[in-house]
Order: sequence, then structure tokens, then C-alpha cells
Amino acid sequence: MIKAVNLTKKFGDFTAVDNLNLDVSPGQIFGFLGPNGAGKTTTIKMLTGVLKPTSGKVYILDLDMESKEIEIKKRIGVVNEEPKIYSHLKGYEYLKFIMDIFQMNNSEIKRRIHELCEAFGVDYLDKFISDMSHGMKQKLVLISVLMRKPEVIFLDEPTVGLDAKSAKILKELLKKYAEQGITIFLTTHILEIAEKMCEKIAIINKGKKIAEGTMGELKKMGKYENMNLEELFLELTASEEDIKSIVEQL
Amino acid sequence: MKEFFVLLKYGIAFFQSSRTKNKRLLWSSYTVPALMIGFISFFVTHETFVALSRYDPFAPKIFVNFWTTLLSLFFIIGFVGLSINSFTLNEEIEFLLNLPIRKTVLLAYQIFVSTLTQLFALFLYIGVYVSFATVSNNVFLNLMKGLLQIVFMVSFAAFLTILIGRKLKRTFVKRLVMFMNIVTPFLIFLLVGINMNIPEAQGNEPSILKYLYFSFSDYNFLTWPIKDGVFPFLSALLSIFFIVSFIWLSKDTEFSQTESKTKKKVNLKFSSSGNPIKAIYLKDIKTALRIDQFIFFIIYPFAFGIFMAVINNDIFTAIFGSMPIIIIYVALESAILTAKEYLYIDTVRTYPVKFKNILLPKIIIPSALNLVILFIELMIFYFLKDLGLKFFVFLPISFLLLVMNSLMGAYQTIKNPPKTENINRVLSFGSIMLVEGITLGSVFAIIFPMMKLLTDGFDSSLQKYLIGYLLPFSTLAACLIYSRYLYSKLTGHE
Ligand SMILES: Nc1ncnc2c1ncn2[C@@H]1O[C@H](COP(=O)(O)OP(=O)(O)OP(=O)(O)O)[C@@H](O)[C@H]1O
Ligand SMILES: [Mg+2]
Repeated sequence: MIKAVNLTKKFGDFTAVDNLNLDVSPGQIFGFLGPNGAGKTTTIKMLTGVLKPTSGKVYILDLDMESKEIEIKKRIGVVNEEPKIYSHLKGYEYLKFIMDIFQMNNSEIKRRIHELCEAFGVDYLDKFISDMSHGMKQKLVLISVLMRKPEVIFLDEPTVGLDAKSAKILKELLKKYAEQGITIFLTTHILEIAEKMCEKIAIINKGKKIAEGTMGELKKMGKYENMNLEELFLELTASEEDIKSIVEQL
Repeated sequence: MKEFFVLLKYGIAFFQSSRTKNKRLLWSSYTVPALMIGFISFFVTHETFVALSRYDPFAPKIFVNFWTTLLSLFFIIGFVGLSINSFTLNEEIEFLLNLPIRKTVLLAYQIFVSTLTQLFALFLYIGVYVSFATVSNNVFLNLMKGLLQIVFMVSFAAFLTILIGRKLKRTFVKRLVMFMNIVTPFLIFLLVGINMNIPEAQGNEPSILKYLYFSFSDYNFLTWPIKDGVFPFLSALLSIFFIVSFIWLSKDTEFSQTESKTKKKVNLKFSSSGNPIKAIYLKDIKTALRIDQFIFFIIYPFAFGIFMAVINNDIFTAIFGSMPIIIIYVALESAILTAKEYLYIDTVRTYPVKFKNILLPKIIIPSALNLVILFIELMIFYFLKDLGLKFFVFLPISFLLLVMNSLMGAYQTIKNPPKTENINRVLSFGSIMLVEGITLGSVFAIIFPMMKLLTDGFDSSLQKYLIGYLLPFSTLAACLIYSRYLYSKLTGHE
């Protein structure tokens, strides 16, 4: 469903993503972890056709991103790191705009809008987007993506700024969608989310993939038995003594 | 004081959306045009003052009183309108409030920046006043009075700002500022118009002076600093009072959150056209109409174009006169629309739409809007001044030029994408000059010879072919090629 082959992105001399290979199968929830600046957002941008890779290939839904960009974009959904959307539109105008852009106009999508608004407590569609808070915008973006029920959904730190209830609903909703066969690719800094939700996890650091597998497989990679994801993550991306000495020095 | 200079050093450069690294360039982009306006107003009014003083030594005083009143008024209103925004929380104020800086310093900084934005009015005034001072009998004293006038104006405006800052509604202020901005540039026509009337009135009393006399009243405190007797002292005292009150009042100023009202009734009828292209055009038109600045950018060239058509008897002068303004505004309009798209580019790029379809409305909407202006001008001439139908050939040619212009506006924006929602300065002064230069050059090379051609104004047939046909058509071809180049640059831009 999502396939990256030797994906590389350079900004000048700096390599943000380095020869990355990924393969996500249908109906999977795939967790993409890594410290700040590891290259997660850059990877998502390449996978969704926002950024052209310096080299390497991207296949989504078995289509080549280079030649089938528009068709791919029509069938996937993307929730960006930051909910940056047209501030001069009102909430419902934005949803209408998305319906037009994706050429979807049926009773089902309208039904879903109502359901999703209900679920996330969105009763502010008449407000200008410029007047919405970060979390309010984030929920609007989520609705604009989920209402379309795309076949593949990319989410870059989707729970940032959401209240506890909305975050919970989002997590349950994503699990339900995955059961229905929708493929989900998500980045997060909350390791608990990754541990509980994702069937498969990849960890990248400095643009390179340093680990990949199911929770079970990852645990075997650790130094000792029964490490949790946090301990493993820290072991892979920084050493524990490091952190201890840093804290002591502060 | 030290804090103030730190703010100046970093603050001004900090919130310019353009990435102008060169601070000197940034400063000159404010001051050079203002200085130019100052020089122009100095030279334009100089002869008037000489003529007036020959007629009656008292006449220049009436004249300068009138201009002092008018320009002080404009300065103060524009100043208050702009700096009142500093009492509402915006991105910049929010950032500044987090710094350990006293509010008085913060406000003084805002006042300074607001003064900068009123540089045009200020230098227009300085030009007029200095030209008055040089024909007066006591140059030094009058220059000192002029200085006092400026101090008085700024302190009064600052005092007003802080006094009403928290009371006025933001939307009202915005309307007011917009209106003042539209009206101020027309003053220069008034200035020129009055100057033209005076030589005609030689011998008997220049009638215009009668109308200006009202500003000479002792109750007109706006001109106290430049009057005789105790008035300058009074205004100096008042200035001190304004400054002290400003500092005193600013200590407990609160910055309030901006708010816009929302209707409770929710319209959830999701009737959509299902047409992506149409949706993008509709969205851009909506955006344009909701940006106050954009509305100003539409109204101003419209008013100007119609004004030019009405006062001129020659179609060439009318079109050529309105072109410079139309050109600036077309570029600004497309720059705003492009900037508004580029702020959300990461989201926009996930839409299943070709980038060219996102981009085209930013070119078409401003070009079409301004083509309507030229169309109206031609219609005015057609119906009122017997213009031949053949002159309508200007329309398609102008459209091409307007498209080239919008492309330049959009391209300059993409080359220097905006970082914040603040769109106070969409195009840098350098970009505007570039756009102006290229397009005015082409307008001159195309419309001037075609005009001659249409009116059979050529002496020899060689001239006719070289200047009448070759020049405009080759320029037209060059414009086409350049537009094509910009377009491919734009759509190929990552
Ligand atoms: N447009 C750009 N130009 C230059 N460098 C960039 C650009 N975008 C990203 N980078 C660099 O690429 C690296 C990876 O950035 P990226 O945003 O992908 O990190 P991330 O894993 O998403 O981090 P975070 O967890 O903080 O969101 C960083 O070092 C960043 O500075
Ligand atoms: Mg990121």
C-alpha cells in the first residue's frame, strides 16, 4: 500500500532522509518514530507528493507517485503537522471546498460530517478559521480528511493540541478504520500511542532507519528482556548514561 | 532608552515578511520614496509661494496654514488608525509582551513605527513647509516653528492613540484607516490643481485664497506652532503635556484580544458544485473580498482610472496616466492572493489538483478586475468624447500586459514566500520598482506608437513601419515570451 524505495531527500548538503525503505501492507497501522529533526515530516511530505525526493521512488496504492500524483492524492488523506488552512474561510466553507476539490458530493459524506462533528464536539463551523484555536483547527482538518474515508491516511503527530476526549476518539476511530482495511501511517512522540495502536513500528534517527518491526520483534532487539518501547527508543537514539549525566549537569 | 534601540534594531527587521537581509535597503525602502515626495512637493509649491508673496506677503501664510491643517489632520488620523492596532494582541505584540521590556518603551516603539508608516504625509508636509520657509523673511525662525509643528503633531497623535486606543472598535478603525489611505494620495492632485489656478488669477485676488482662509482661525489649534505671538509657546506646552500624559497613561495599558463576531445560526447546507476549478476561483474571490487591504487595492485604481478618464480629453493621456497605478495594484493584488495561498502550501500540495490550477486564479482575477477599469475608461470616452471603436484594440493588448504584471507579482511572492499572516508589506519596494519599470517600459513602447498609428500621426512610411508596427509588435512578442517564461517558472516552482 505504501512503499518507499531508497528514498532520499537532501536540502543542500544536508541529508534529511537517507536511503529509506518502507513497506506498509493494507489495513496496517504503521508507527513512524524518531527524535526531533529525524526526518519524519520530510518523509511524510515525500510519501504524499508534497515534496519531490532527491532520489528514490514512492508507490502508494501500487501507483507510482511520479506519474500518478493526482490520482494518488485523490485517494489518500493527509493530516499535516500543523493545521495550516485558509484562514479567510469559515469552517463549513472549508469543508465544502474540500468536497469540491475532491469531487465528492453525496449524502454519505454529509452524514459522516455530522457524525464526526458530533464525535469531536465541533459546533463552530460558522466561525472563521482565523478565529479558531490550534485544537479547533486540528479537529476541522481531521474531519475534512476522515469524512472522505480515504484508502490511505497519513497523520503527522495528530494528537498534538487535542483534548483527552478528542484524542481518545481519534485513536479508537483509527483502529476501527484499520479494521475496515484502511492503511494508516502515523508519526508521534507519544510512545504509548505507538505501543498500543501500531502493529508495526519504524524508528528513524538522523534520516536513517535504525529499527523496524512489530512490538514483539522490537523488544527482542533490546539489551535485556521485556523492555518497554520508551526504554528501547532511548537505547536506540540516545544512551541512558547520556541522559543521566545531562540531567545531573543541569 | 537602551531597550528602545534594541527593539528598533531587531524589531523592525524581525517582522518584515520579506527576507531582506540588508537593513539599509529596508530603511531606504521607506525613506527614499518619502524623500522623493518631499522634493516633489517642495518644487511644485515653491513657485506658488514666490508668486503668492509677490502678490501679497501675507498670502503664503494663508496657503501654508491651509496645508498644515489638512496634512496634520491626515497625519493624525492615519497615525492613530494604525497605531491603535498596537493595542490589540497580534503576533508581534504577543512576542514583544513576552520580553522583559517596559510597556512605555513598547508603546514608544509602536509610536515610532507608526510614524514611519506616515512618512508620505510627513514628507509631503515638510516639502510644502520648507518651500514656504524659504520665501519667508525669517527663514530660521520659520524652520524652528516647522520642527515644533512636527513634534506637536506626533505627540498629539500619540496622546490620542492612547486615549481612545481601548475604546474604539477594531473594525471601525480599520474602515477609517482604509478610507484615509484612499483619500490621501488625491491630495497631491489638489495641490497641483490649486497651483495651476493661481497664475491665472494674477492682478485680482486669487479666488482660491478665500476658500483657504477658514484654516487661519485662531481656534485652529492644529496650526498653533507656526502662528505668531503666544501660540507657538502654547503648543510647546501642550506637546509637553501630551508626552507626559502618554508616558503616564501607557503604564497601565492593557492589550486586548481581537475579536470578530460570529452569527449563531449555522448554515450546514453543504451544497457544492463538485467542480474543483470553480471552487478555487470562488475561494480566491471570497478571500479577496475579505481582506480589507485587497478592497482598497481594488477601489483605488478604479477611482483613479475613472478620475483620469473624466478629467482628460485625450484618450492617450487618460490611459497612459492610469496605467502606472493600475500596474502597481495588479501586481499587489496577485501578490496578496499568492501569498495567501503560500501560507498554506503544505496543505494545498496534498490536494489532487495541478498546481497550475491553483495558481491561475491569482493571475486571472486581478487582471480581469483591472481590465474592467480600462474598459470603463474607453466606454467613458466612447459615449462622452466620441472615441472611435478601433481604439478598443487597446483592451486585448492591455490584458496581456496585465497578465504579465500579475505573473511578476506572483513570482516575486513565491521567490520570497511569506512566513506570517501579517501581510502589511506584500511586495518589497525593489520588486514594485522592477514591476513598474518593466511594464511601464512596455506600455510606452506599445501604446504610444499604436496611438500614433491609430491617429495617422506618422510623417513618413518608414517611420510608420519602424515605430508604428515593428516597435509595438516586437515589444508585444517580448512580453509574451517573458510571460511564458514566468509562467513556466511559477508552475515548475517547488
Ligand atoms: N525546507 C527545509 N530546508 C532545509 N532543511 C530542512 C527543511 N525541512 C526540513 N529540514 C531539515 O530536515 C531535518 C528533518 O526535519 P523534519 O521536519 O522531517 O523532522 P521531524 O522528524 O519531523 O521532527 P519533529 O519531530 O520535530 O517534527 C531537520 O534537520 C530539518 O532542519
Ligand atoms: Mg515533524
